[in-house]
Amino acid sequence: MKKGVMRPGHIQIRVLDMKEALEHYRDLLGLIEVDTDSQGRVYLKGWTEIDKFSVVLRLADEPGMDFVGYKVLNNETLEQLHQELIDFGCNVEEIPTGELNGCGRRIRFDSPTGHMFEIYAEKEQTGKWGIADVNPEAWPRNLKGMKATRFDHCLLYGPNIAGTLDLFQKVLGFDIAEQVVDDKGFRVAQFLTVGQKAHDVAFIEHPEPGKLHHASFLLDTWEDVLRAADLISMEDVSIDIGPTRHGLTHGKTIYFFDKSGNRSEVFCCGDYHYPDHPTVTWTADQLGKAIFYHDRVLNERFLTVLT
Amino acid sequence: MVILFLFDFFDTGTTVALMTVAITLNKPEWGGSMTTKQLHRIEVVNRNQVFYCAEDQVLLIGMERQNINCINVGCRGGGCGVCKVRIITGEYETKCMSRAHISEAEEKHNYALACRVLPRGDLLIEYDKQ
Repeated sequence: MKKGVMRPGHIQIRVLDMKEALEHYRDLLGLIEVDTDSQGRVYLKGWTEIDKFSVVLRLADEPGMDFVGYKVLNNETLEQLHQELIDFGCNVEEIPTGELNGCGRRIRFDSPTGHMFEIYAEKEQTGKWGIADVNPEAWPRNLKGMKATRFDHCLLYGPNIAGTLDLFQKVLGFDIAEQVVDDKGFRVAQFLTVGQKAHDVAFIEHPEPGKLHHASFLLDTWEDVLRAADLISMEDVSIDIGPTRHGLTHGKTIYFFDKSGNRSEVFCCGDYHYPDHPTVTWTADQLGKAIFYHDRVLNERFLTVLT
Repeated sequence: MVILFLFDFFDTGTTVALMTVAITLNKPEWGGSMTTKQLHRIEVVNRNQVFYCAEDQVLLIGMERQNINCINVGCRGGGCGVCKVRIITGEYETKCMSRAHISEAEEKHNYALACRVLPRGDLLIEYDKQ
């Protein structure tokens, strides 16, 4: 049941070196650098995104993810969900307006998998970058690198993904679009959506809490994914795997790492989900094909390397 | 560049011989465009493996370029901790590494992530992960 959560709105990623991080997120992925705040955090967005920012980079001595934020319909929804998060048993914290430049009041909460999430209703809307709001052209001419269009989703690792599913379904109104189930019926992976995408966030069962597997950015076409692969080689960027296709969600994809070891994905296409659709299931004995549809072989690094 | 490519197909002994050729070829008087690079011998003692690494190259990349896989390769960015080694002897410098994987105490005791270690001499190292 929809609860008024609209979409993933932002992710704050920790990096070891801001200059190198900007070479990755701005110059290689092609995100637009939009602001820097008094803490030195740098704000970026994909060029098609209407809101001011979707990626925040924070200098830290260990990489990983600080939090992911979801935008909700309005302040009434925010208040309603705030109370429901408390009732669910989350540790809930209010972050005042302006703590992130251009972002309204945020309600931050933890999850059983050990990740921090937040919801918010207001963020400054600066429009698509480089094109007009009225009579807009198809795309701006001066994009860099892979020309990523938006922050799309992230895959997170942690314990008790069943508990986090409960939170995301019951309180936030996400659906489970796809899952991987082992031979004992235990769900080892879950792909959750709050709209029609195959995933807005995904979780894999893992003993360490709060881990980031990857942050993902959308491209338009398979040709763009291949071009991204060319850029990864040209720039001698640390590659993980791809270009290939996933069985899960059927997205066409490539994975690589930023200079702090955080994994990035750029991908295109894939399945869609409506609330009345049954959950797509992959069985763990076909996990190789579920993850890498062409190789059909599991890759130790892809499964275990996290920040 | 051709010679470096050939390393993939030979064992360590042959690699040493070819490396000598590579160093010779790299000398400026040969007139090539390649610069002279000091290559250091990196021995992974508990894996019985040796590879060679240039001053401006981190250990993990040096290892990968010679198609040796005695250290697991993760993010190559100092973030995931998969390539954590201990330097037993030898001079080296490190680029920044995740404190989640190399604490200050460990850094003092010569633990490092191979993807962030620049050799400044021949090194003896060990790698414990499976």
